[in-house]
Formats: sequence, structure tokens, C-alpha cells
Amino acid sequence: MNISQNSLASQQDIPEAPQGWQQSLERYFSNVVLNGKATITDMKRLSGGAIQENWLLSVLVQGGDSAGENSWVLRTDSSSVVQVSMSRGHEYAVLKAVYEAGVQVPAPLWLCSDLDVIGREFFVMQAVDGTATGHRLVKDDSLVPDRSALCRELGRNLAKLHTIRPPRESLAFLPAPGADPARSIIEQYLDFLDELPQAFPVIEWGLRWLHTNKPNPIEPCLIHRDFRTGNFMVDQGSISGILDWEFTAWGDWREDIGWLTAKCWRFGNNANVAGGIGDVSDLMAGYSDICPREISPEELRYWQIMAHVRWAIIAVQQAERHLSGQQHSLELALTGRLVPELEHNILTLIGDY
Amino acid sequence: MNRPDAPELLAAARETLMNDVFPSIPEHLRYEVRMIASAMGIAAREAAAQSQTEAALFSGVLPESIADSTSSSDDARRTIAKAIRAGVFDTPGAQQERLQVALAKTVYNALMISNPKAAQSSGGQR
Repeated sequence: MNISQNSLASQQDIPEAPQGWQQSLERYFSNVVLNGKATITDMKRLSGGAIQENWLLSVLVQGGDSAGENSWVLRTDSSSVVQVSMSRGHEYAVLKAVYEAGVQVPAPLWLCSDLDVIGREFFVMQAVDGTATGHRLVKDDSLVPDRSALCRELGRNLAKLHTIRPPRESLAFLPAPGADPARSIIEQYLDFLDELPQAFPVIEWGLRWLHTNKPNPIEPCLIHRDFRTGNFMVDQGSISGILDWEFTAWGDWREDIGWLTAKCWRFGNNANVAGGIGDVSDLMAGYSDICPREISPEELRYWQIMAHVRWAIIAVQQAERHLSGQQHSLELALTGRLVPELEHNILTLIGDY
Repeated sequence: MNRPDAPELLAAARETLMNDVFPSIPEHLRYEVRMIASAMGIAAREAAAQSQTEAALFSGVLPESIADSTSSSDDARRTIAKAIRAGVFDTPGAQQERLQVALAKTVYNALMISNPKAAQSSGGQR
């Protein structure tokens, strides 16, 4: 899973686009833009993401509906990494579904599953302005002049996402919602732990607590599962696009709230419980504009513990990828050293230890 | 006896890296160098650490299955994890309290090495 506080591959040399992409993409765009002729005037790889590549394209279109200068983002699998999350085609279907539900995302434009174009499946979306950098968004008031307004906006987006209920024909590739999402997650995480060469008593204790304090299941809906600061673009103080839909699944809406508000995603600004950005009350006020719902302190605590347990397991798995020789990387190795802080948060939330 | 010892060597190497080398590192590799410095700091603290072993900490929780002197920390962690999953500590009380105190100590010891700032803000062992 590519969920990391540090954007993998962020500061590396930005590679050139592979040979032949420009010509074949120009042919492809000239076909899909209806009555236009497309010329790519610039192409650069965006930072972040070791599993997916995002390329910012400047495309000049002559004639037709898209005539003029266009800024598009092409998203495709990284050439070097094996498939670990959903395919680009599936992610495109999710993006379309949430876009149609009114969630603020980069507008999805085209999906290309024809491997003859660039050798991999890709989709194209509208580029959005702004920044997603977590440590800047939580501290720099010039980027977020009205924190309460941004939190309400985040809440409205989450609520719109959560209005999508199963079944959905276009999302039939998602695993069917279980009768009890929390229980399925706990079982899945115990299985993950069993695959590791070492035992993790604190994570185990966290999972035991989640098991014995499990809430009753509620009606499932579509959830993002990585909805947190760093995964939404902010432009002029408001959301310009929510990104990274590859972990989307059917689940319990409170999981998204727990993940966004967990201490590990506040980028050091702990007083602002909603992602380091602002207050949970504003988040839920925005949420309730769309869908009147409340989350009790107990529910919030439960799903924040779930969030830290999840992040701790991912961190352990990332370190294991390094240790096993699967992907030798100092960044993955150091991710393993984030685990004690996550464990500390788990113990503090469970019993003030 | 090797002098200077591992923590001293790592500290000196880290200082040279950050004070003398870092300023000439091009922008696109600075993140990597910061990671290297961070890894060296963690390794130096770990080499200097003399905290109670996890076997010793967990033997106080399950004395009948974990021996302070003979168990490895890996074995002790596995034994505790298994007992947690079996529900041994589900009931609030002295046993559960001992477990949570021992877990908190292991986390505190690990934090003192991996992230001393977070350990200090955690207010010690409780």
C-alpha cells in the first residue's frame, strides 16, 4: 500500500517521458477530442507516488470541443512496481462515480485500456491547481485563511461520497460489502500480523481492544480509505480536488472520519483534530449539510484507534518489504521506525498509557 | 575494547555529513541525505541504549510462561501476543493493568531510540 507520510520518490530526479509517448499520445488525443488536432507542448512527471505515475501534460488542441490550451494529468501504473491496489481502469470508474455524486475531484476525461498507446493502461483527468503538502497546509494560514470553512468543505465532500450505496453496477469490481466491515478489517489485520516474522504485542492489543469494543455494523457505503491531509489539493483556501482513490471500498463511513482525524495525520498540529486543518465540529457541520449525522466521542475514538492500528500495520509491512529484499529502500526501512509512535498513540487512546 | 565506540563514531560521522557535506548537496538529493542522518541518529541511540529487555518487562506480566533470563525478546513478544489474542487480558483488573504498563514501557524504550521527541512529550512511562 502506498500510504506514507513521506511521499515516496518525491525528491528523486524527475525522469523524462519514455520515448514514443509524445507521438502516440498526440494521436490518441486527436482521436478522443472530437474534431480536433492535439499537440503536446509540455510533459512532466509530478512528484509523489511510487506505485502510480502522474504526468502533467500541456496539450494544445486546434478545433473541436477542447480547442485551446489544456492542462491534463495522465495517471498510470509505475513501470517498476507490481500491482498492489486496484487497476487504473477501476480507479477511473471510482473517480467517475464520485464525480457524478458531486465530490470535488479532478474531472475524469478518458480511460485508455489499449496497451498499444503507451504500453500500460492509463486515464486522463483535468489538472487542478493548488497544493496538497500536509505540513504546509496545517501551518500556513495564507494557504488556509478560513480553517473552519475548509473543514466544512471536507465534511460536505465526505458526506457526498458516503451517499453512494451498494450495489452499483459500475463498481461491481469492488469486493461485496461484508455484513460487518469492522470485523472483516480486524480479521484481515490479524492475518497480516501472522505473515510477519516478528510479533507486535501493542498492535495485537489494539486489535483485541477493537474486537472487544466493536460497534454494531451499520449500513455500508462507499469510503475513500485514505482521505487525509496530503491527499486533497487546496487552492485559494478551498478544495480543488480530492486525490488517490485507489483504496476506495465499501465500508463504514466512520472509518474515513477516524482516518482523517487520527493524530498521525495532523502533521504535528495536534490541536486541530480534523487533519491538522481545524475542528471536528466544523467537519461534521459540513457533513450534516449533506447528510445529517453525528459521530460520538466514543465512535471517534474507536475509529481513530482503528486508524493507528492500520497505519502501524502498513508501516511494518513497508519495513518488511525492505528487510525481505523485495525493495531495498532507506525510506521503507525508516518507515518501520514510525511504528513506536503509532503504538504510543494506540495505547494512549485505549487507556491513557 | 574499541574506542571510540559505535555511538561516538556515528555521532561524529553524522556531524560531518550535516555540517560539511550537506551544504554542497544538490536540492534533489537533500531529502535522501536527511534520511541518512536520521538513520544514523537512530542507530547511534540504539547502540547506546541500555534499557530493560522486553523479556524482562513481559516476564512480570506472564511469569509462568516468560522467564526473565532465558527468554529472547522475540519469544517473549510472541508469547504475549498469543496471550492477548487468546483473550487472557480481556477482563479489566490487575492482570490487564500489568500488561498495559509493560506495553507502555516497551513503547517508551523504542521511542527513546526512534523518536526521542515523541517519548518526551509522552510524559515518561505513563
